[in-house]
Amino acid sequence: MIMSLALCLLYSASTDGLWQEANQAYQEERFDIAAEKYESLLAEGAENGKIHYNLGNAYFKSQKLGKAILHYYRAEKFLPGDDDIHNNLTLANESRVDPIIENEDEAFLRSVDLLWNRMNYSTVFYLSLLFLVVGGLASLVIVIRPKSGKWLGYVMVIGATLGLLLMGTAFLQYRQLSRNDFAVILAAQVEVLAGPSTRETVNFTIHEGIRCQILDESPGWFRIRLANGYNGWVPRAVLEVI
Amino acid sequence: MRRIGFLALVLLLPGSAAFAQDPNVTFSIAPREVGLNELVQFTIQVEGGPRGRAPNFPNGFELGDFELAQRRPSTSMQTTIVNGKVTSTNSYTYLLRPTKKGTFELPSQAVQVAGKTFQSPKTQISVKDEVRNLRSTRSRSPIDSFQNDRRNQRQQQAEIFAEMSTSKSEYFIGEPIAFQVKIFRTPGVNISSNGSSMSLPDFRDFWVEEVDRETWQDTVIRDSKRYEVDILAERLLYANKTGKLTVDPTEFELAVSVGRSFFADWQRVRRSTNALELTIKPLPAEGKPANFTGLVGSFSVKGELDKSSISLGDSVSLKVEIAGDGNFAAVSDITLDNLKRDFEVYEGGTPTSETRGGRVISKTWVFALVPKREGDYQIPLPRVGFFNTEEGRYHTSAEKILNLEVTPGERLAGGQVSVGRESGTILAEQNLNYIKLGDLGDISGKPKLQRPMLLVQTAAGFLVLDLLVFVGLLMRSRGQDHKNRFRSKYAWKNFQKAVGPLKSKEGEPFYAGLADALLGYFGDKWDRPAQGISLEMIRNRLEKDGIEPTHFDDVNACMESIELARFTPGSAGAREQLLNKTVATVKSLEGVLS
Repeated sequence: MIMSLALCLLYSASTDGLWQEANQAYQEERFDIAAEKYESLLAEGAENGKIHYNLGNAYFKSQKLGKAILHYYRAEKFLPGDDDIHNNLTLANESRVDPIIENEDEAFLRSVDLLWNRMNYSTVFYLSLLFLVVGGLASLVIVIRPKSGKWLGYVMVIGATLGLLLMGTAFLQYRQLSRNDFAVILAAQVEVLAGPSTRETVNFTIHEGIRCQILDESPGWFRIRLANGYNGWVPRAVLEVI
Repeated sequence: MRRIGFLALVLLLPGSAAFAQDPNVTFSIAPREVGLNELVQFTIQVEGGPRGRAPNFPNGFELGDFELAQRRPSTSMQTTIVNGKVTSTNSYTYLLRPTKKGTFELPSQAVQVAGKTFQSPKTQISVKDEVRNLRSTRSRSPIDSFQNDRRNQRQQQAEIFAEMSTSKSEYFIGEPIAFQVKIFRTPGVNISSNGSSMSLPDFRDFWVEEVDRETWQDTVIRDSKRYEVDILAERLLYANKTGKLTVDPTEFELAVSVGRSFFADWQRVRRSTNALELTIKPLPAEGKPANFTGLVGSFSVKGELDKSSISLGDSVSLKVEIAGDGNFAAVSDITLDNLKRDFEVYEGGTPTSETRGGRVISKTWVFALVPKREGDYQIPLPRVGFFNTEEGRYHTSAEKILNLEVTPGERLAGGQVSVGRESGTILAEQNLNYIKLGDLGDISGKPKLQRPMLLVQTAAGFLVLDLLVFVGLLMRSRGQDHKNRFRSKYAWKNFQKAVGPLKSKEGEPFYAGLADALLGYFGDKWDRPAQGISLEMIRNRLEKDGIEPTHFDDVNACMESIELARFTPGSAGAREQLLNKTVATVKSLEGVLS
């Protein structure tokens, strides 16, 4: 018991030390060193949104766009709706060679800009819960005392409507955040082939940092799909799953 | 008639055109190496000036260590007509005689042409011993000249020979080595390109760069003899390694003749040059600047902006030039990464090179810069590190700053300033939000997201609760209705339930309970609250229902007995009697009312 407690304390001290060293290296603009130390933290099993976000920044500063985008997306899973991550991910995506290609859910959510871009998942979730509870309580009062007044009816209708809308948004955001079939291209330029063989014809070419969905796999190959519907096969080594 | 027309063309056109343009004056001084018995030609060439009027020397002709061989210059005139444009060129040649041996500087001369003053360059001239006149070879038979007999061999070799040369014998690695292959020939000896060949050595220890210059001629004095020199090959060599390196001889097979007579006999002769021994030294390790990329020589960086002030959204052109003398092949491309924080940088394609004498003397890059925000900017020019071979140490080009003012640009709809964007490169680092500092926090490695299904469950829970409450209230309401509807049927049972517990009671509780039970019976029977039932009401209702009056009398007697007994309580026997009487009265009423 004491041994395991001591080991836990030792582990915690070493990860904190490594975290501080990595941040120090970043502040001294030694971005490659900072990235190595953040990677060491991940290799030791420590993982959270802060590490992925800072690692994304270190890669961004080291001009490694693909890895920066990969870690921003991973950070977003831990800290959904974090303003810093959102800002830097947008910058990184704007720096890509390929134009921004969104997945359909994101495109829809971007069209309802108010809900998606201005509120993070936690806010959406708890607001939805609040409105649903308010609407539900109002409905209970109305059922118990039908002559309790019009205002209670308004409260019920507004609460239920907003609650349901936010619930739909929360479902879409959750789907985005919890998917694990997305990957980021890390190679500078990748030729997407018609089949899982180098002899196949080249369908199209994509570049570092683009996000894609993994549809299928074969030894050494992934079949990927871009948001615009283009799909094809690429070697496993050129991408990393978010 | 044709003659008159030709004269008019010669006299009128050049004359009218000559005065219509500013004169262009050039100077030439040759040769730079003369024997004491030779002359130096100082030629002033005037293009577009006044015809037939020799230039003035307002400060006099400063001859230094030379003297004029003749007072008046020899003149020549040339007229050219190109695309209708007539150009007249007059040449004035002064012959200067050296007075002593040595190296002298012919001073710069101020020359006045058409009212304008031009300045000739200062020129170094080397004066050597008297040169032997070898032109008598022209009179010899060509066969005699190149006969391979021993008596004439030395003379033949003196008359035509080849040489490989570099400017010095020791170089640093990376330093360009100017390599030339020359043929020396006495005046009157001609070489025909037809039938001549040259075999250059294999530069196995060197990287070779072609010098883009056509073969050219010069004259030199060797052993008091003047030779015409043909430079047949020029290369820039860069040693691949340090140490003593050898360049093998160049082999020639030449078709030569003496004199330009139609009957001159062309002969084939073989010549080979000397071999070259070069010492290549390594660059010193100490003092090497961080930005050293292998440049050896002397370099400087210049730059200019085409505008000093622009509006936000506009672009400015930045020209960066690296100039100097050295191995330009080692000049790496300029990227201006340091400016990408404040500017969007667009490269203007491949750099342009300027050459002189076939060698690169400068490389120029052009960039378009688009500022990202307004303000005053100081744009530092890139610096290059190089090894100066003359000083034997490393240098870094001087720091130079260009200033640029960026004023607010035109605002577009939405408040956005029009600024271009370069795709594929990271540009907006200054907008990057900083890293997260502080404690590392939870590092369990699993994202914690509230499942949205909880929202569905909440909504569904309220719906079910609403439904349950609604159904409960509905059932309660229906049960009451049912009970009310069948109230009269239960009147007798309720009465019996009410009087049952009275047997064990005495005093006021007994009498009050008995009165309530009796009135409650009528309330249940007629679906009214028991509290509102009075004897008068009972009598009227019974009469209305056609019940015999004796029943009411029994009820009245019971009520009076109960009221009386309240004030004068009786014994247990009297209470039982009253109870039985009341039960019997209600029982008989039940018989007629139901």
